[in-house]
Amino acid sequence: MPRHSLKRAFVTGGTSGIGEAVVVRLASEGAHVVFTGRDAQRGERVSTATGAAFVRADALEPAAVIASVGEAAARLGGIDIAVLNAGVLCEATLSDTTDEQWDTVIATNLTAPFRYARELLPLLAASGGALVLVASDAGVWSETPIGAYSVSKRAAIMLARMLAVEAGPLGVRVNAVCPGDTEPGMVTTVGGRESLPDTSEWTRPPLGRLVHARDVASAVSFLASDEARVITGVDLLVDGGMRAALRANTVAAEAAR
Amino acid sequence: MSRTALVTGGTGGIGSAVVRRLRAAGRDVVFCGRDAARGAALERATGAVFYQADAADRSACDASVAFALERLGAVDLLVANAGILVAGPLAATTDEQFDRLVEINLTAAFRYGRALFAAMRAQGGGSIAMIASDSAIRGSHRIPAYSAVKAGVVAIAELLGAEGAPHGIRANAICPGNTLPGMAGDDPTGWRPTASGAFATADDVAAAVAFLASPEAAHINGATLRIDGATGAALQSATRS
Repeated sequence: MPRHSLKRAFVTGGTSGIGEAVVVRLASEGAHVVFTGRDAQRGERVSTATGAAFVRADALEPAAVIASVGEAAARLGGIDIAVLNAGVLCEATLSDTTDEQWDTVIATNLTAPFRYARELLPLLAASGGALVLVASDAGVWSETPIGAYSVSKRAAIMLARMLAVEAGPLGVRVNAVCPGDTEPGMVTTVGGRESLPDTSEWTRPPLGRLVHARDVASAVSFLASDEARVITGVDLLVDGGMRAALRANTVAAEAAR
Repeated sequence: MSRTALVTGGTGGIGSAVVRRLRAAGRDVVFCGRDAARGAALERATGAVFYQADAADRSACDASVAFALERLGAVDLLVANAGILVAGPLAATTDEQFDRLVEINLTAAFRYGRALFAAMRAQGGGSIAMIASDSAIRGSHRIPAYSAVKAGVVAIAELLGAEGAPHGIRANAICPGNTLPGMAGDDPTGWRPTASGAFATADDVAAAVAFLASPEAAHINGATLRIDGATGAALQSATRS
């Protein structure tokens, strides 16, 4: 029997990148999936390809958070797996970040997951389910070129830990995955980009290649499964080993600028 | 030699201890806070200059920065200390509580940091102390939203330290454990002391601020300093809270 056979899954930000890969993965493993996103066209494309149901929702709108969770629960008859993936990148150092950029990043990457989790906890408690928050390796080790993003992800990782402590007695597990540079992912979708920028000069992790969205979906699938039944409150790096020795040359290059 | 400082949240427990300490060390100090009466009293007691500003009010914060730069000529030290406490489970935390916590504890720290970073870069250097919390590192289940937001404050200090290093700007995070007087005011009811058996004092935190701002700490940048009596050093079932 497939790993997630008949499981009811809810994925935010499922129309592209890592979220799309998670929808594909969970659906391929037997789950009934409802996913959200802002772009109806991309949503329909993913829906057609996977059989998952699309609900248009912008994580920045509190009413849409409540409505999308309610619609997913109604359609699925409950929720066993929740993946909070919707997020936004901002390519600016912290000192160059505008109020508008900051507010968008914090609201999308920190406040929205809080609101989603608060809505989802009673549903996951009823099913003994699991929540996975997609954070970032930048939340484990800050990256100056994406300052506000790093701040938001550091806070989001702690949010996941605190949710794990709070939800544990309810039989709910909460974990964070922290992807390194991922294709397709933030590096391809930032600013409406549809293709990968030139990454030939990027520092490679020890494994020598960028993370693929499928690699992140694998980790999400595992953490959401019964095989991970005593794993909660962790932040799992999926980064090709990048964190093991930092990006020393990136930091040096910036300092020399 | 660093001579001036701007302290946010300067009328509270830790903030007022920081103001006193910096004044005792001979610095010219501007401090912000909401409470005009407490501000005036501390002004009289220390000779520091009070500027009334609520950290939740962005235009007031901007005005306080402009006032400090005008009054002091240059700000060599920013102590971003203003903060509020929100306790209780995330499931019972309201949007209003969460948004206010983010605005005061995280966004104001970012905006003050950004403003003074620019000023310090223009003047050739300076230092920044972000008052975070030991809950930012270990997580505290009684104050989960606060823990998450304070984790972000630590990241702000690291990022400004890394960005500022080539420009003579240092930024560090200070993570007090349960402190008296501090977030709980003067009343320790319901709060556990640190692993040492005692509470941290606001003066302990002020001493760390003074040290990190001093030339002795010239190469300490982007660091996180716990002042928690070892509460976070190892799990101890008797003290975990």
